[in-house]
Amino acid sequence: MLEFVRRNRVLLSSGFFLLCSLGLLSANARQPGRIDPLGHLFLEVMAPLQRLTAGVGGTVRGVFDRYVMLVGTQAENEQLQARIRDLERRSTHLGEMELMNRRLKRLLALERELPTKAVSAAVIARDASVWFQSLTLNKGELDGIQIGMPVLAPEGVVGLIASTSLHASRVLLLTDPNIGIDVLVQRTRVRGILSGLLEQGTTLKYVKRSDDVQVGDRVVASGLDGVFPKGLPVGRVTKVSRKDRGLFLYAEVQPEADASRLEEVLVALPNGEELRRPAGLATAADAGPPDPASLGLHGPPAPAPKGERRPRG
Amino acid sequence: MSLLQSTHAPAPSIGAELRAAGIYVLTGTAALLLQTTVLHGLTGGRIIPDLVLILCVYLGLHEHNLGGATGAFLLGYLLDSFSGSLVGLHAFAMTTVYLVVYLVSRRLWMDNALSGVAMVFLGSLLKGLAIMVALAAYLSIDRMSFGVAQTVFAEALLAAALTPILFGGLGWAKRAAGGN
Repeated sequence: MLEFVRRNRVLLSSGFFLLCSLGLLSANARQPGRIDPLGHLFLEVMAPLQRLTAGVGGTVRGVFDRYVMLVGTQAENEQLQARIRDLERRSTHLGEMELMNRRLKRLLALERELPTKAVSAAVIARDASVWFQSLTLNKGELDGIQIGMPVLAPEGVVGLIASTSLHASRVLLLTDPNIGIDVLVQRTRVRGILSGLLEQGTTLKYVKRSDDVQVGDRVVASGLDGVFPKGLPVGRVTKVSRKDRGLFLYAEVQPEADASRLEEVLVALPNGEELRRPAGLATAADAGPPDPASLGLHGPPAPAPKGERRPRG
Repeated sequence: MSLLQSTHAPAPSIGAELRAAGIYVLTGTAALLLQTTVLHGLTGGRIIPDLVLILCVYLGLHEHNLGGATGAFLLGYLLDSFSGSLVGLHAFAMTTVYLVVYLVSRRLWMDNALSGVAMVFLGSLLKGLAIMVALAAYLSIDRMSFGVAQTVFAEALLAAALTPILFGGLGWAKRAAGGN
């Protein structure tokens, strides 16, 4: 018996791990993240390393772009080249600052329009595979972020918080097949459920064939799911098909917020009756105000004190 | 001439096994860090070289023990922690790839670079297939178009192209650490 186990240990252990994987899949298929014993630990350990790697990668790329490509220039031009480089560096820096300023102003404007408080966070990493799209943020439970909270950008809805650790969190994007958002077609007020496709787009489900939906129609959050504030832009209809049999039409929607370009986002915190708090979660009312300084950027100014209603517009 | 591989290799010492495990942990961590940060910037996020899969195939080719299977499962689980929302999906795919590579390598000689490249290419396709099957079984994916197959194929080609570098680096690191 022992000899049989020893001889087939790889097969037996692989079979055991396959069963474990299928068990995890089954348990998490209905409610994502329900059973994830190591995910919290992995996220907490890897987030600082990801931040460091992204920073080092950016610096190396910057050094390569600015200096290595210039090796071999004539010696007599070196002084002028150095001056040009310095000016270019300053110009690039100023340009970056200007772009960052614009982005943060738009983020701040969105934050003021929201009916709830929000935490600003920077994107520090992206999904590890091509199958899904997710983001890792530099804020976690210590900043009041909890699973199920909506993530927003000035362009529109980005996704939902899928998992958290003390100092980091992961965002599941609209394009994930596991997500569903109650939406309205803005022009005709037709309701549907927006769900992700595997190919970076989304599809509008449960819309009757007879309903008026056209390419170019804007899709907004209906607010009926109790998670996303009503009227927030979600995407635009890019394809409508009524060829397939069945009760419903097929429509594809391109999200307004391009996740591949996002650098900063807002996480809306539950506030009174405005947003539904996911079951079993602690209150986030104690969460601090948006902290743009911790983004490593010149962020928006500090918001109103805790408990005080924010000014609109 | 027989293609059957000999199984009479001397058992490595515990110290060598621990050093090899350390190398795999460091390589897996570095691979995931690159996949989630720098490589996104280089490729625009459309196709990301699956370095973790290459490591998993390496385990299937060289680590025929409990540690190899555990490593493959943990690599998949690590990917699950940073990809999508369905915990267990990549763990399932990586364990499947490890098992198939192990079974193939037990029956065929896999000691040259070309066979490693071929195994990574096939392993990447197998991983894509395993993910599609699991998604179809556990999530109600309505449509899966030709674009998905194209992405899987391109990812497999990219992984195969990077295999000699990663395999070479791992072999060098193990030799330097005193492993076999």
